[in-house]
Formats: sequence, structure tokens, C-alpha cells
Amino acid sequence: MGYLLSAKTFLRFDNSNMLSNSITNIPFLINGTNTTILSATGNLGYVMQQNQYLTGANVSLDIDSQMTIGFWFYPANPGIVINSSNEIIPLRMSLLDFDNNVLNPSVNECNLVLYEETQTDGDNKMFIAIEGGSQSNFFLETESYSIGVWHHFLIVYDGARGFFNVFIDGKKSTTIGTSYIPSSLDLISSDININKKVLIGSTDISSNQGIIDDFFVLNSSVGNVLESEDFVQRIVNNNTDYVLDGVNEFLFDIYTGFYISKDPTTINITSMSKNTNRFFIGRSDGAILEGSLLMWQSVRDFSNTNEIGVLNKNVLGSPVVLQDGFVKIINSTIKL
Amino acid sequence: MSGIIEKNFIKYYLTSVEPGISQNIYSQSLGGYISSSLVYPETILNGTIGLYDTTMVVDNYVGLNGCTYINLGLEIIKVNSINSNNITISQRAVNGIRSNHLNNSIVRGISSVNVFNNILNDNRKQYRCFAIKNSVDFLATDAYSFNDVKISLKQDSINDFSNIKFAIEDPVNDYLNSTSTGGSKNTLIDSSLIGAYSDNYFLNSRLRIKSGSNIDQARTISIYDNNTGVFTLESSFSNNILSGISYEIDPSPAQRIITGEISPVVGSQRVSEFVGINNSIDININNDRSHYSILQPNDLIYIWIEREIKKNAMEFNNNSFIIDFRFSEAVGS
Repeated sequence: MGYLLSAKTFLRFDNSNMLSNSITNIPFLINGTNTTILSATGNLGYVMQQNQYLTGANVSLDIDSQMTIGFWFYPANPGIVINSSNEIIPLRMSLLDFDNNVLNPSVNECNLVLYEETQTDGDNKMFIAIEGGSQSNFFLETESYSIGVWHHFLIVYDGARGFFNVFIDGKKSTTIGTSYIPSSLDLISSDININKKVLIGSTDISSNQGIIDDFFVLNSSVGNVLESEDFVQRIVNNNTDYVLDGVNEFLFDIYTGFYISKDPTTINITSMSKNTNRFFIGRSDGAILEGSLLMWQSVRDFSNTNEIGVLNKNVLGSPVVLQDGFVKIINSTIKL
Repeated sequence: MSGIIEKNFIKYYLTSVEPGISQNIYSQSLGGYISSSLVYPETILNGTIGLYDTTMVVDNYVGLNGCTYINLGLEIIKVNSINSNNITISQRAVNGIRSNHLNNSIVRGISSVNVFNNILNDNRKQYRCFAIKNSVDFLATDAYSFNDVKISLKQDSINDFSNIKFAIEDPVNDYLNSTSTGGSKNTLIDSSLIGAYSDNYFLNSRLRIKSGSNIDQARTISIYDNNTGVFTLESSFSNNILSGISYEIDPSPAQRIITGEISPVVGSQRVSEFVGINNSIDININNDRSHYSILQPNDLIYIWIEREIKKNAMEFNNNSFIIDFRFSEAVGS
């Protein structure tokens, strides 16, 4: 396997090595006051916690005017906030930030930030912004998305072509934001923080408590909208590892599904046995079924025409019929 | 390039004992000629569907009427209602695979009339044969060829007691488009082919006239003489074949089995062995295809499906499997 040349960071969050960056081989570190527990969910991502964040220090990114960020995300909504004037405001939660001093070296804190806000209907929204520095007039806000289910996020930036697109579950999200798109991010290298509260600008009120998985960063954009959607579809249909593998970059698939309404049973009756009041059936799958002869007889009220059909299999003479709730027998004998 | 549109050129057809007709009985898709009937009716998705969407819009709903399930890529979806081109979804990921689907993806309707039935042989197996065709017109401006084609089983049976295997059969001849140098009512001469193929290389294939007074008439080839380039046909055309007439030859038929309980002959020069999931088969079996691993316009290959229900299996509803057609690039003509 060989990763795409544009791949700069890839955290699988596998149980075996939660902090491994598959591209750089330099692991992320656990930070914050809550540093003792690193929680995972069976190869399904990193469970973010209060007062704990991960940092990849000074990661080489070589990002200029193109960037792609992708990850699976299982959002949580811990609630909204009532401030001192009794105004209900969203809860801003940290998620990702690229701590980059290069955007404006004179300002110590200047970050490309991804964060979430809770909504009153229980859903969340994601925001992307540059906070601090000379380009801090950029932000955009996605459509809301439901919590408690896995979503895939793909953020595609191209400063030369002037777009910052967000794809949620493979569909381009209708974003609200500034018309200004930075022409360059100058992320030659950067600290990458996962779930670190940003304390300048709009402050993160809470740490995120969702789950993030298969987080990657490319220093290229993945083409136009259709190509980006195709890129996500390949992730969803295969997996992130497959799509970041350069060997598979130019392979394409056409899938055709076939549907079978019913697979028949191949279980056979292999033996039967009865005594005066019990009936036993042995099946080829090893099961032995037991029934009461009396019970089977007593519940038969012939309200079902199938029961009349069964009865007629044991009739000598004219078939019996159902009439006025009774079985009518004329010129025939029933062998029971 | 490889976008979405050209992927729609790959279509799955039922097979038939007779050439050039439709196949209305699914259980009779047992090899022979490609029929004019798709395995499942198709239309095109209008707009992208996300992972959790429960509505969809298609270009033309007519063929989907009466369908209770829909296949979109890797996913099988249960339909709630079809109201004109607007479809309401009852259940996503019926087969356990949830996917997103791009604008212009192929939407296939699946009804309760099924490709498979419950008639199995003594080994609890049954067989079907489909034709996978690059259906784009040879002369179309967007006539794409698909390179490095491999077939695999992407999703296996979701019933643990059921096995799905597949095999590939290459037609003896691939699609051919050429021009006559003479002929009669029941022969066509093409001297440009002399020495290029073996005798009877085109045996039982369909020859179709594309110009002149016999245009669109098709006949089955009964003899091909490689020394003279003469095709002898099973029956006559309406008029004599003249020189300079465009004609085409469809890919040759597959082997035909008498009933769905009889296995086709596999593991031969042009037929692979049956394999299950985690196997892919290059369509250039034993390096014997004249078009190598390329599926050119009007080319087709046959795929055999072996379905087995293991001994002592319980009844199981809503089973499925997914075939993967993989290629490296689609190249325009």
C-alpha cells in the first residue's frame, strides 16, 4: 500500500494504536487535565471527552491554496445554554483546529477552526472559521445534521478557485458564510488539535463528546462538486484506507445488486413418534418438536379453510365442506 | 476520464435460447444468446441521496412501477410508494449496506418476480446466466471502452446458510464491425478477414446488416470459412448482399443449460471456475479474448451465478448479493 502523495495526516483510531498518524508515523499526544483515559469503541473511533484533547505537534502539511479534510463523526448534543440575560444561546463545542502562526506571525494565536454548535431542535451545526490574524473575517456555517448517527464530513478548500465546500454524507451542504475566501492558508506546518477548546474570538464553551474516526488531511482539493461527491462515495462504499491508497486511485466500480425474496428451508422431517397423548417430530437440523395430540385436536375449529383441506386429505368418499360453522359430511368417511 | 454517465453504459441482460428476442421468464435466463430484456428495469437518479435520506427523484418512473425494492449501487432499498418520479423510501440498507448515491446513478427496480426461484437440484444448487454488456452504440460520439475489467462479488449472501458463487464465460468472438466485399442472399463475403480467424470462429453468432436494402436484418451464422472470408447464414436475407455493405457481428452466445438445476461446464478455455467472495476474475480468461481485458462498445461477457442453500438451512427472507464490475478507466473512441 502507498498513500496518495497529497495525504499528510491520517488517524485511523484503531484500538491497537489509537494515536498513530499513518502518514508521518509521529503519534499524536494526549493533552488536557483528563489524560489518563483514552476511549475507543471497537475500531469505531475516538470518543472525545471533557478536558482532554489530542495534539499532533508541528505536522508537516505543505498546504497552500488547496486542502481537504475528511472524517467520520458521531455527533452528540449535550444541550443549549441560557446566559445571564435568560437568552437561550447555542453551546459551542470544540472539534478541530489547526494552530497556525504563519497566517499572521505578529499574532500569537491564529487558527483554522472547526467547531460545532447545538441547535434547539436537538441537531448540531458545524462551523469553519479563521480566528485571529488578518484573515479572521472568514467563516461558514453548514446545514444542521442529526445527532446520534454516523455522518461523513468532507471539507474541500481551493483558494485559487475560490470555494470552501462542505460535504455531509456525500452531499454538498448549503453553507452560509462570508463571501470572502482566503486565497491561501499557508499551512506549511501546523499543530493539529482534536477537541482542544479555542479561547480567543468566540470561545468554545464545552469540549466535544462525540466520536471521530478516520480523520485525514490532504494538501490538495478533490476537484469539482461531482468529483468530491464521488470521492466520499468511494470512502463510504469501501473505506478511507482504500481511497487514500494511491494504488486504488484510478480504479472505478460499478455495482449491481441482485435480490432474492426467499431462501427456502432445507430442513426435512427425519422421524416421527407418538404415544397415547404426545407426538414427536425429529428434524434434519437436530431439533425435536413435541406436541400434544389432544391439544392439536381440541384447537381445530375448522374456521380456517386450510383445516378443511387437511381434513379432506383423510376423507373416503365425497369431500367434506364447511357450512354454518360446522363440518358437513355426506356420503363419506373420515379416517383420523 | 471516468465520470458517472459512462458507467451507465454497463448493463445486465437476461439470456435466452433464441437470439434477438426478449426474455420474460426470469428462470429461463440459462445461457445462450443475450436477450433484449434487462435483468432489472433501469432509470437514472435525479439528484444525490445522502446516507439517511428517505426520498428520491428519478428521471423516469414508468419502468419501476410495481417494484417493491430498488437497487442503487451497493444498497438495496425498500420502496414505500412511487408517485410519478418521486419515490418515498420505506427502509434503507435492506441488505445491511448504507451508501450515498450520486446524481445520474443507475436506479434498478426489483419486483417480487425474481431472477431466482426455489427449485434446486439434489445438491441444493441452482444456476443462472446473465450478459454484461457495454451497451453504448459503437458509432456514438461518447462510445467508451472500459479497460482492465475485472468481475468480483462485492457483497456475499446475507444468509449464512446460502452460498453465492460466480463464473465468467467469454464469448468466442467479440463484437465485430466491418464491410462486405460481396455475397448473396444467404452468404456474406468479407475478404478483409481472410486468415484472421479460424474456421467457424463465428459459428452461431448473429450477423446484422447496417446499410443497404437489408438494413437491420439479422441472421445466424452457420458456417465461417477463414480461407475465403465467407459467412454462410442459416436463412436468407430479403435481397442479395452487395459489396460495400456495413455489417456487424454480435458476440457469440454462451453455453446453454437445459434447466436451472444443471451446472454449466466451467474451468474450460473460455469459462472460469466458480469462485466466491474475495476473488476477482479478469474478463480476459486464459488470455484468449481478442479484445483482451477491454470491454469495447457492444462487447459483452457472460456471468454465471451458482446459488446454493446449505443442508438444514432455515427459511430466510430478503437475501441479496452484489456484483462488482471494476475497471481502471473509461476511454472514449
